Amino acid sequence: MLLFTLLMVYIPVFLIGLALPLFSKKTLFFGVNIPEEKSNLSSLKLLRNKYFINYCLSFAIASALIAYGFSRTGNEGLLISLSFIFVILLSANYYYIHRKVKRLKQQEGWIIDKKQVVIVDTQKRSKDMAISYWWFLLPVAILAFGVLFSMIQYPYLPDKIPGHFNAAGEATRYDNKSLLSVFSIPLVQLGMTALMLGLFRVLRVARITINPSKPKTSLLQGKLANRRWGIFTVLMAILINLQLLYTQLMVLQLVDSSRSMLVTMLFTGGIIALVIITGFMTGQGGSRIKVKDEELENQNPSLICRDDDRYWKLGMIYYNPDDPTLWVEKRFGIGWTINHGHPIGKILTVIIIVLLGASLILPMIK
Amino acid sequence: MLLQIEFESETPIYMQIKNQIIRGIATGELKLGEELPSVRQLASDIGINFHTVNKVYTQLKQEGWVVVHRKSGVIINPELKVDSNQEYMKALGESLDIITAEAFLRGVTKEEFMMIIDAHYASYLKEGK
Repeated sequence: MLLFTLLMVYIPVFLIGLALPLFSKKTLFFGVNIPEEKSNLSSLKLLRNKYFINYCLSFAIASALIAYGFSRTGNEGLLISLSFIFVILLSANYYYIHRKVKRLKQQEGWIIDKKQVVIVDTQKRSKDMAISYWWFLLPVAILAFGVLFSMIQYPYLPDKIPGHFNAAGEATRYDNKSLLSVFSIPLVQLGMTALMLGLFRVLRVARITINPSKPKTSLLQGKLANRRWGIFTVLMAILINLQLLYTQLMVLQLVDSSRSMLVTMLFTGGIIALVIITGFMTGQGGSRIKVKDEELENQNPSLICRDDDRYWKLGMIYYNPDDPTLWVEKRFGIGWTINHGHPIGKILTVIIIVLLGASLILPMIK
Repeated sequence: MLLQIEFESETPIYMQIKNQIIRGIATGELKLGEELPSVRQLASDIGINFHTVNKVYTQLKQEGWVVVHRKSGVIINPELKVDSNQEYMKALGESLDIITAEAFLRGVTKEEFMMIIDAHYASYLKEGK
């Protein structure tokens, strides 16, 4: 069972890490701001291949060491530590190539004769193609459905209700019947829906980085990408709510739990598939979306994005106190990250460091 | 309309935004009554301080290019009525003074200079008032 979970989680994670360079924009090579025409250089292709090789090798070695350690000691903590090691390996491999690209850019003076500009659109963002908030009625309806059933069923429930299930759908813990224990899953649903709604809100106004050498194409790609991620959050909210509704119906003993494992696998698989498909079809900032290239004739290769490499510490942590934006596009891979120089970003940074520190130190005290 | 901001330019950023908005009105890229992004949105899209954008909007408002509506925010003045008053003509003369002087010294003839001006005016009048 443990092995199964490991494969289910770690193989997709490994593959996503391997594919990360493919999600990036042509103007950002391993987090380094470059002119688009340089992205086809053979020296850069060599570096990318180097990343693939290093990444695979380091993962193979780390996995083998852990597997060996596990077979000797049987310590499950080792397997769980694998996720930490994955993150560290990924970052280290990325940073190694990032530095090489940066040096190459400097040595060959790629941006010396270029004009660095920031392009922004004056159209109000809310008017664009973002989808409506009303779509969130769907996950809310699922949530309401669960609440309604729980209310109807509440008087007929036994004094002890299942509080936790294992993967096979057998109850592993029973709780006393109370409003809190019966409605704990709807509460989680509420929290998850709110989280997705929050993400949706951020995405509606998220900054679109426009490539100055072909502004219209990249603006359209960015808008389409934000729209897709908006739809993605709605779909995620629906999937999560459905899965939790199923568990709630198990708690209420309205559905038989024999197919629980299949259902969980279907939903988990569905969520992972949704992430991967949306990522591959969209790419960072819509870089993988094909739009009609109307601008081919009037591209302006003398313009490049403002060189903001210096604000990206280690090529991955954005720290720019002069930028009032909290959410910015990630430098590598896909998604958004926070500006650690923003007041809220600073607070979040402290919280993250404290939590990380605590999770490392607390087990030692025990 | 797309604004193009150069961080390394000698022209201050607020000036670049202001100039481009006025130019956008002249060429018709910005329609009268069109909404502009909020101070927050524009500042965060460019990645600059709110005050800089605030300064732009305040100046544009004072000069009559935009109006601030309580509901729809900053919009291009739908009843745009900016005239060439004496004060403006004086400022225009002063800016042209240095521009023509340099053009003259660099050997740009009066005809060439007028042709450039013509081309600019042509692009404005197409959609203009």
